[in-house]
Amino acid sequence: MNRLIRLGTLAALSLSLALPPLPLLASGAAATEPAAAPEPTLLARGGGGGGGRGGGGGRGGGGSSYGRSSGSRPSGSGRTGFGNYSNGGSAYRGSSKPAGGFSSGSKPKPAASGTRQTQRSQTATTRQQGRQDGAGDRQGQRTDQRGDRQGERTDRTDIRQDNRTDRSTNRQDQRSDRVSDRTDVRRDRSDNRWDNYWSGWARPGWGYARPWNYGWYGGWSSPPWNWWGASAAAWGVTTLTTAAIIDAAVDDAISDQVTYIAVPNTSFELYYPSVEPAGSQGVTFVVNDNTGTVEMTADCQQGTLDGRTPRTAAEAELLNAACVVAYGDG
Amino acid sequence: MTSLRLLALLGSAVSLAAVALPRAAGAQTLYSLNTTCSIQRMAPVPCVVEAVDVGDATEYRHRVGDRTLVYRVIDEPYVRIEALNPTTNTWGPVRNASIRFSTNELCFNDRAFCVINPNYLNSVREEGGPALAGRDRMALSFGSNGRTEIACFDDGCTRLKEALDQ
Repeated sequence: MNRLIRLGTLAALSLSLALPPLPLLASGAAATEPAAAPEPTLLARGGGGGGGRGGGGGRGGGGSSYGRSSGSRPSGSGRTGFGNYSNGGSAYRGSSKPAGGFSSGSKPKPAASGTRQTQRSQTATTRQQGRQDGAGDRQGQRTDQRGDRQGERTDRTDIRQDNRTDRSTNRQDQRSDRVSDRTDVRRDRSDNRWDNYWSGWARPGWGYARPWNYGWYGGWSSPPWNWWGASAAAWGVTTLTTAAIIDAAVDDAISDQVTYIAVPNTSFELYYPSVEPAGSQGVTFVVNDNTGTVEMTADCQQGTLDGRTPRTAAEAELLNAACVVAYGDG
Repeated sequence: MTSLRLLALLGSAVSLAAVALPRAAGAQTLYSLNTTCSIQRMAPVPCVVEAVDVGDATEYRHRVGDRTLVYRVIDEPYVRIEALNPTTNTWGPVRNASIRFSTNELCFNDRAFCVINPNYLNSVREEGGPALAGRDRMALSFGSNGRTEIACFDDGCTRLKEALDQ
């Protein structure tokens, strides 16, 4: 049942990603869409060149291109990724060949010229058949014996290989267990360390207890960092986690006496009591990045992490979370 | 002297532009189009689209102000649409893509980026043939490996979403 629920949730999520918001799907949504480029229909219909050099995906020199391979695209027409899925559920024809009756196996044989010829052919065929059967039996027995011997040999080889694989797997499992144990111990030590250095402000009502100014960070749907738009579009991230969610995570962590929060949409764990302001727009903090704890710095105004633009959406989320804890509405 | 400086500056700018995007041998520009793009659902702004065949992929480069957003479509071994991460210069699969013929609009990643590209839509019409006749909307959703997981059409997209939301 749980698997079903998870599967359903996954499917819903996938679809929600795939589909624009409902209002945009309505038939009258065109009015709310961004204005079309000048003379778009000219290009769409005619495949001419209006609007740019080289022209558009114009008709490819006659004939329907339906079902053609990518190698035969008309000049000026790029791969779109949509064409292969445009059947919309129409019947898949498969690779069956036309049944024209002209395949090589159906070549008509010439009729026999006379009865004698037919009898002679039949006798010869019988003799030949007997000879073939005898030979076939002997060959079959020989092949069976050989097959048995080969089978036994293969069995022994398989058993040896299985044993070897089992031993290797066991060794690998034990090694993974030891690594996992070491990681757990390291995480525990790290957690204990932060227990010992619990910041004074990290207590219920922490937002007001923060000893530095706050409230200027966030509140925008699209951060004013110059790299944000292009990177976010490429990552497929529309917005960063809101301050309300991060604040709630810190609230929960404080009430549970846990010294870190899981940064949403990432595998980072932010040790929130470690967050300290650096200047009027910077912040330092400690984070567990799955390999251990590292200390990092961020510039909330410039949108940099350790002095550089985040390389992944997860790094952007980490930057945002640290800045929310330091300067966000809490 | 001023002219020489200007020339040097221009040369530098051209060189920078040349290294700004990955170039591959045998790249062939299919078309260039002045149109509008929208980033993060903001108001459309002017942009230039350049469609370039690079090896087995077609790249769609969108120059918006001083930024360039690049997506590419690969047919083999299965259809994939990828976005270029501008900070790491690496490709990653988009989560979804949608088109609307009536507005000549192509969007990626939940409309995080949209472009009015009639050439692209026309190419889709060409590829789709009669199966797309009368269609307006189509959307594809991709898995983490870039492979298409869901394809929907017109009201089917709406109905599918409604069914799954229940």
